[in-house]
Formats: sequence, C-alpha cells, structure tokens
Amino acid sequence: LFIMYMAGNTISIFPAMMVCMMGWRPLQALMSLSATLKAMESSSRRALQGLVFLVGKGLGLALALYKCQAMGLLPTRPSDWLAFVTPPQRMEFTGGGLIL
Amino acid sequence: RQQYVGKLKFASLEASQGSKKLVVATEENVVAALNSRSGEILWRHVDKGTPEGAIDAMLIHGQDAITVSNAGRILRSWETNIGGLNWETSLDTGSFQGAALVGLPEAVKYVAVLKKAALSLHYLSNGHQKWVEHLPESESTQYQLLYSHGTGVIHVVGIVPQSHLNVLTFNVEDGEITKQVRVAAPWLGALQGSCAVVGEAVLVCVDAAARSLHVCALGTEQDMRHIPLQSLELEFADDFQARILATQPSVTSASRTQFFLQLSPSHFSLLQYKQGLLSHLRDFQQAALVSFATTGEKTVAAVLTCRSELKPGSSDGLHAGSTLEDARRQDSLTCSNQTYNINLYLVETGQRLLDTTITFNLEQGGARPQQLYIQVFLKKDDSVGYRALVQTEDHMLMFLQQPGKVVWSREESLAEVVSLEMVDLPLTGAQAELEGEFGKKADGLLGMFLKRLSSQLILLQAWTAHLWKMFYDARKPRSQIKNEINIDNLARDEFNLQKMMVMVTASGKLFGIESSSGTILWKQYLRNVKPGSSFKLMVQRTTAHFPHPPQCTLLVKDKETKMSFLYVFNPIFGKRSQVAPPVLKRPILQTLLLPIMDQDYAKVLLLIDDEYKVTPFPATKNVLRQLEEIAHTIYFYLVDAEQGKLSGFRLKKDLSTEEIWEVAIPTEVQRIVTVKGKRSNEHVHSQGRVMGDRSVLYKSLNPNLLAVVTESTDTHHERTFIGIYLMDGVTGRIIHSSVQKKAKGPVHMVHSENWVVYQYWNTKARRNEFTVLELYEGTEQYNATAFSSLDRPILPQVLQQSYIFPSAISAMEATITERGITSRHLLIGLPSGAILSLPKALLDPRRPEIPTEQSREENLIPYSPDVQIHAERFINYNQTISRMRGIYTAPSGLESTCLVVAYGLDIFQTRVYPSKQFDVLKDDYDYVLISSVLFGLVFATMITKRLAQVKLLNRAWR
Repeated sequence: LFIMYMAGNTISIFPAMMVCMMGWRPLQALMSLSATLKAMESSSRRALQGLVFLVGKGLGLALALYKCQAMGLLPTRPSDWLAFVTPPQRMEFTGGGLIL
Repeated sequence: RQQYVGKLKFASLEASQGSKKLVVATEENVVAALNSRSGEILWRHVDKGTPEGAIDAMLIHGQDAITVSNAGRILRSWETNIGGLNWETSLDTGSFQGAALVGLPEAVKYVAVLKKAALSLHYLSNGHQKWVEHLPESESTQYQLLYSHGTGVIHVVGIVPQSHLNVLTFNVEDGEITKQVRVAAPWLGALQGSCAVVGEAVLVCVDAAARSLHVCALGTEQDMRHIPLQSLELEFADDFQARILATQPSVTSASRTQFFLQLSPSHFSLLQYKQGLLSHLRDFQQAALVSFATTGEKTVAAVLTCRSELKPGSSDGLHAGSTLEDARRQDSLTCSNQTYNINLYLVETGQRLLDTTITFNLEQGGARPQQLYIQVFLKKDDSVGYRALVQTEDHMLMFLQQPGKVVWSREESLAEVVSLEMVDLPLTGAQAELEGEFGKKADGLLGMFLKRLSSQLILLQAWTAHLWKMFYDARKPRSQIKNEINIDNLARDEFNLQKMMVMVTASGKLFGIESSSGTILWKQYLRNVKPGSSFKLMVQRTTAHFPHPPQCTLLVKDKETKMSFLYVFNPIFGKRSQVAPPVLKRPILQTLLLPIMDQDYAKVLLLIDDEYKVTPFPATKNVLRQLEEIAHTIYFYLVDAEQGKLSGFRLKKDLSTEEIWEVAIPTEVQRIVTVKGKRSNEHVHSQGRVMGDRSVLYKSLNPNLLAVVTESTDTHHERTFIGIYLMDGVTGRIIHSSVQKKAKGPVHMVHSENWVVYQYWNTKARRNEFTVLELYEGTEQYNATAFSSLDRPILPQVLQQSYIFPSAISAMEATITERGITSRHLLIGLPSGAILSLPKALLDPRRPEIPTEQSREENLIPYSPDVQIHAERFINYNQTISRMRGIYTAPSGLESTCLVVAYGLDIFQTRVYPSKQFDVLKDDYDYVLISSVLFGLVFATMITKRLAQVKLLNRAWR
C-alpha cells in the first residue's frame, strides 16, 4: 500500500503494472473462493471467516479501483466517450448561393 | 505540374528551316517562347494578371522581341533565345494606338510608338528615346496607323470619323513634320481593318456601302482615288464590314502590292494594286482564314479552307464545288466534317503552289480555327516548305507540318480553369463483375452459386494475367516499362489515390485529366458557350453505383441572355449521357443537389428559375414522390449581390417556393463579395474538444451555416471596413456579425467544420491578417441526436483571434479527408506560386496568451500574433504555380491522405498528409527483419516444444 502511495498518479509502466497486480490479486483470490472455503472446512465459524475473507478482498479491489480513478484510467468523464458520439442527424437541407 | 501560356494574342515564327522556337504573347499577359519541335515552353514571363499587365503589341526583330504593355506605358525588349530582358523603358501616359519598327534603308534601328497625342521613337539597342513629337489636332483626330518603309520618313495616319484623314510625315532623324496632308474621306468610320498600306506607301481603304475601294498615296496625294469594284464582279456580303489585309515583308522595303479583301466571313479575294491599276488575282470562297508569309524573295498567301462534305471525292479542289449559298446555309463557317486544308498561293500571280496542301482533322464537334500563323522556308531545291500554327476557338494550338502531320498540340484553355471536380475512377472489370453480382436480383440457390463460381474464376483469370504481365515486365529493361494510362485500362487503385479530374475552362471546353500523370484522357468542346458564361459543375452519380455509369451535370449560364442549359455527361469517358436534361425555358438562378436518389442512384438536382419555381432533374415519378415527402425540409437561399439582398425560400409540395426570410445589406454602404456554406461531403469525426479538466466543449456544427463577407463601398483607407456575418441558411438568423474596421479586401475565406478563417488587408497597420472564428455550443449539447435549425434556443459561443501573416495570398482552401479524423491543414496559395500547408492548430482561437496547466494539458500553443512562413511547409517545393486562382481538395481512400489540385496559369496536383501517414507503413519498414524474427520465434517454439517432450519422456524412463 505504501508503495502504491509512493508510486503517485502518473501513468508509466511500473505504477500501471502495480495497479494491475493490485486489482488482479483479489480477483484471483475471489475466483478461488471455493478452494479457500474448502481449506477452512474444519473451522467452526466457517461462514464468518469466509465473509471476512470476502470483505477483505473486496476492500483490496476497491482500493485498486480508487487508484485507477486517481490515475485517470477509468472512463467516467464525457470526454472519454467523445469518440463514440455520433454526429446529429440533419433535419433540413439547404443550398443555394450567389445568383449565377 | 503542367504549364500553360493562355490564348494567343500575337505569335511569331522564325522564317528559317532550322529554327526551333516561336515567340508568343498571350491574353493572359504572358510572353513566352515555345519549342516548335515539341511544343514545350522554353521560357515564360508572367506579367500581372490585371489589365496593367496587358500586352498591347509585340514586334520581332532578329533575336529581339519588343513588347508594349500596360496600355502603352512600358516598352520591353526580350532576348528570344534565353528569355532575358534586354531593356525596359517606361513611356509617357496616353492611350496606346500602335507600334512599328522603323528602318533606314540599311538597317532597322528604331521602334516607333504611336500614342493618342504623341509619337515617340526609341533605339532598338538600348531603348533610349530618340525623340518625341506631339501630333497636331490630337483632340479631334484619332491617329491609328503607322507606316514606314525604309525611306527615312514615318507616315502617321489619323482619322476624324465621317470627315477626313490627317496624314503626317515625320523625318526619322529629328522628328520634324515634313509634310501634313488632309484627305477628305466622309465615308470612313474607322481606320483599323478597313484600311491598309500596300506597295510604296499607298493607303487602300474599302467602302462596303459604296462597294468600292479608295486609294491614296501617303504624303503626296491630296485626295483619294475612287475605284469601283463592280467591274471585278465581287459580291459584298450584307451587313459585314469588309476588311483589308496587307503584308510588309521587311520594314526596310515597301509593302507588297497584293492584299486580301475580305468580303464576307468566308469569302476572301486576292487583289493587286500596282501603278495605279487594280487587278483581281484570285477569289477564295469558303476560306476560313488567310495569312501571308515571306521567306527571302517569295511571299506566299496561306488559305485555310474547309474541306466540305458537299463535294465528296475531291482531294485538292476546295472552293470550286460548293457555292457561297451552300456555305451560308451551313452557318457560313462551320465545317461539316471538321477537315481543313491549308494551301499556299504565290501572291504575285495567285497561282497555287504544288505539293503544299496540309489536310488536318479537328475532333468531331470541335471548334473552328481562329488564327493561322505560317512559317515558310525554302527547301534545298528552292521549293517552298512550310509549317503552320493554328489556334482554334477552344484555345487549342496545333502545329502542323507537311503533309498534314500534327507535330504537337497544346490545350491552352487549361490556363483558365473555372470549375473542377474529382471523380473516382471505376472499378476494374473483375471487381465490377463481383460487385454486379450483388446488384442483380437473386435467382435461386444454385444459380447464385454458379454465378459466384464463375465470377471467382474470372478473378483468378485476371490475377494470373496480372502475374504473367508482371513476370513479362520484369524481364524487360526498366526504361522500357511505361505505365501508359489510357481510357481503356483506367481503374481505381487500391487506395483510391488516382482520380479523374473534370475541368471546365472559360472557353467552354471540358477536360478529363487523370490525376496522377496529368494526361488528358478526354476533351469535349461545347460549341454554344459564349465567353464570360458562368458554370456550375455537379456530380450527380459517382462511380460507386455499378452498372450505372457515373454522371456529371454542368450548368452553363450565359451572362448576356441569362439563359442557361444543362449538359449531362459521363465524367470518366467524357461522353454525353443518354439522359435528356430538361429544357430550361427561364433563366436559372441557383441549383441544389439533394442527397435523395432516384431508382438509378442519381442524386436529384433542383433548379430554381427567376420566378422561384423549382425544376427537378431527373424528374421521374419516384423522385417526385420522394420530393413531396421531404419537401418541408428543403430550403433555399439566394444571394443577390447587386441589390444586397439575401433571401430564404421554402419548398412547397407542388414544387413552388415561398419566401420565408430576407436580410437586406444596404448597397450604399457595403456590398456582398462572397458567400460560403459548408462542403456537403465533409465529415466531422469528433463532436467536441476535450478540455484540460477533461470536460467536453461541444462544437456547434450547423450544416446550414453560411458565412457572408461584405466589403465597404468607401475605399478610403481610414473608413474602409469588411463585415462578416454568420447566418443560418434555413431561418435567416444572424448568429454572429462583426465588422473589421480599417480593413480591406480582397477577402479569402475558408468555412469548414465549426470554424471560419478569413484573410484581409489591414490598412492601418499595413499588413495582411488572418482572423479565425470558432463556434462552440458549450459543455452541454442541446440535442445530440438531431440537428434542426428551427429549434436552436441557445446561440453558440463565438471565439475569435487574429494573426499577422507576412504575405498576401492568392487562394486558400482546407484539406479534407474521408472520415475527418485527420487534423485539418489550411492550404494557402501565395502570390510567389508556392502552396503553404499551415496546420489549423496554429490558427486556433483558444490559444492562450498566458499558458496555464490546463492549456498545456490540452496541447494548446501559446498565442503569438505572427504566423511565419516556413519554406519546409511548401508542399510544391520549387514547382511554382503562376497566378494561382484556386485550390481544390478531395478526399482519397486513405484517411491520412488528401488530394490537392492547384490551378491558375499552371495546374499542379499532389497529395498531402496533414497528420503524417499514420495508416500506411513507412517506406523503410523492415519487412525482412520483422518476418524473420517472427518465423524464428515460431520455429524456436516448435523446437523447444519437441525438446521438452523428449526431456519428459527421458525423465519418465528413469
């Protein structure tokens, strides 16, 4: 986390890689949720432990998203969608000019 | 680049067999020398395009060409071999009447210039003035004729119309008037044409009304002798001003005693006046043009006649067969089969010289010959050989050699291109076949499958043929391979970079020029186009709709009669289209090309006449039904510059119109000079601009926006101004108006996307300035899905900035690309002949004076008032274009590439890449390295895979 803070909000290859890792690790963990749960089968408070695990990983994911947002990698502004704005349809046709 | 000189005014051919050049002076104010073997320009000097540069006379003496230009203000002498200027002198003011070389018996030393009130004599060697003399009674007398024949005197003939002639005789040495004679001539109206000097200073005048000639020896006789022509049995045509053509082979000796008398437009007769006796030598009927030429002692007359179809099978007989009445019936001069003969006749006797016939053909529907120049030389066996330069009505120059061989021809009408369009070339046969398959109606599964197979087979065949041709070409030496382009193998290239340029010239000739090589593929002359007509060229159907041929429509409107007609043609082959255009009974004011199409994929053209009625073309039922449906969305605007009125019209269902708005611009104060809308084929990719804080500034892209420029009628430098109005063409609402004080035209303007750039002369600071206007809607779009001019509650924000430009400009245009992704550049034609490609980002009204964090984020260049001309931004390098009148841009198939044609006296075509070639691999792209690395890696993967397998197996064994 400290390293993430130190990396700053500029976009270059190392911070980007770090952010990717940061987002990917919780995702990976969530994917393997069932395996983790199987490992905890012996425990009595299985549900609680599972929930805490979920919340923790969720927090990690949210942190990664926040970092993305701070770096400006998330397409949240209208300017990010500008290239997909279609030109408005023309309702009237006009023509003419100087009298020949 | 192709260079032209324009329509000939004067020409001179050298009278020796070995000579290689001919010196011409043209109506485009150009003095040039052409290579008579190839027709190329040896040298060329371009004067101002205004009447100030007009060439009034050209005289040739030896190696020097003397020109008088700017209404007799400037006298210049050119060296004809290399085109250098020998000397230049300025003359006194006074309207120019004539110039002549003056010779003493031994040599030609002086050139005399006749003005309205004075006669001046200049040395040929250095241009210094020898003397200048005032002409007596110059208020009432028009001095028009100048004559000398090596006797040390100059005769000047002046006329008081319908009264008398004034004949003055000057001494060459000191300019003293030695004699002044007044000759009564109450029947004479003008000297030019109807009078000429023959023999030893004998003035011959023709009087068509009395059917007689009047003869007077200059300087000796007091009155004119009257010779009736009835005795010679010559018929005068009614209402034709008879003309006399004489020749003087050398200024040091007397003129020939023979002269041509033109009796009607096609009837000449060769007469002789010798020792007081008039004799008739020969009669030429059906002659289009006559000309004299001299070599050594022999003077010949060349006669250009039409080889009429009325007398078939006549190889040499030309004027014997058909009578004058027949000629009159076929519109006097029009030649039925466009075949002409040139014959030489010895002037002394009027005999036809043997073996001197040149027969040549003009294209069908071509123009009549207009001027004839003959270059005669004596062959070794003392017979006469000659070459002829013929200029036709459509400004084509032809250089002919015996026997009827066209040595070269030049299309000089291309020096005056008025309108230009670029049309895509058609697909190749195989591609077209494939396309056509989809166009046809489906006829069962099996049929379709068979059709597909056959078209694939054809493709395969074409491909193998292509391969074979490549193989064959590769074996030939490289120099022999020429990519000859002709009309049969015209095909679109991969990226649509070659196009057909359809050019309309002022003379009424249409050209189809292949854009990459500049070869003229077809030409078509419209006979009934008078000079000074206005043209409008529209592409109704492009080549995309196979198998329908592409279709272009040209609207020609006569300036005087105001009547107009449509000419519909195929822009690829130049053939007149089968489609019959509507007959236009009333003058057409404007046209409008609609995006709707009829069933043959031709766009609908609406023509508005002076009663504001609309004629659609093509006018099929389908079109009329479509028009009725969308009539309420069609609007017109008409701009009347003379009355200072802009008016808007709405189309009603019955194809009549209704005026809905009118804007008056008072003509006492200002006049409308240009009105520009947007180009209809323009695409704008980005709807807004991203600001530094990542919000969006939406562009105000009103497709109906007009930019109107007015100039003040007051041209005093303190009070002069120009006005800019941005108007909506549908509602007539003025969106923005501004007045630039102390500014003067000519205003050049480009209107595109959401911006307008115009250039003017600032009279206060005495410099050229650019002003750029940009329109933005703000950070919110009012209606993102549809644009309607009727529903725009918010006016757009207008941003404006001005820049200083170090040069005047002669033409301006913006680049255009297929999808509008590429950044825009302005192409600016400079008077020096260069084309500057200026990025639009340099003319951006959002350039900040103090750069901030946000503007840096946006990549805005800090404002600096002056725009510099960098020589590396010239897109035409050293291929300058003289007197550029316009630049045309067209998109190509590649998004990064824009085709540019600049026209003026020369024509230049190139491609520009405003954002570099981002969609094309670079020339130095290392195909070998990349592919070898790729293959190597694939190979290595395979090997390592195999090795890993072996290793696994070994481990399993252990």
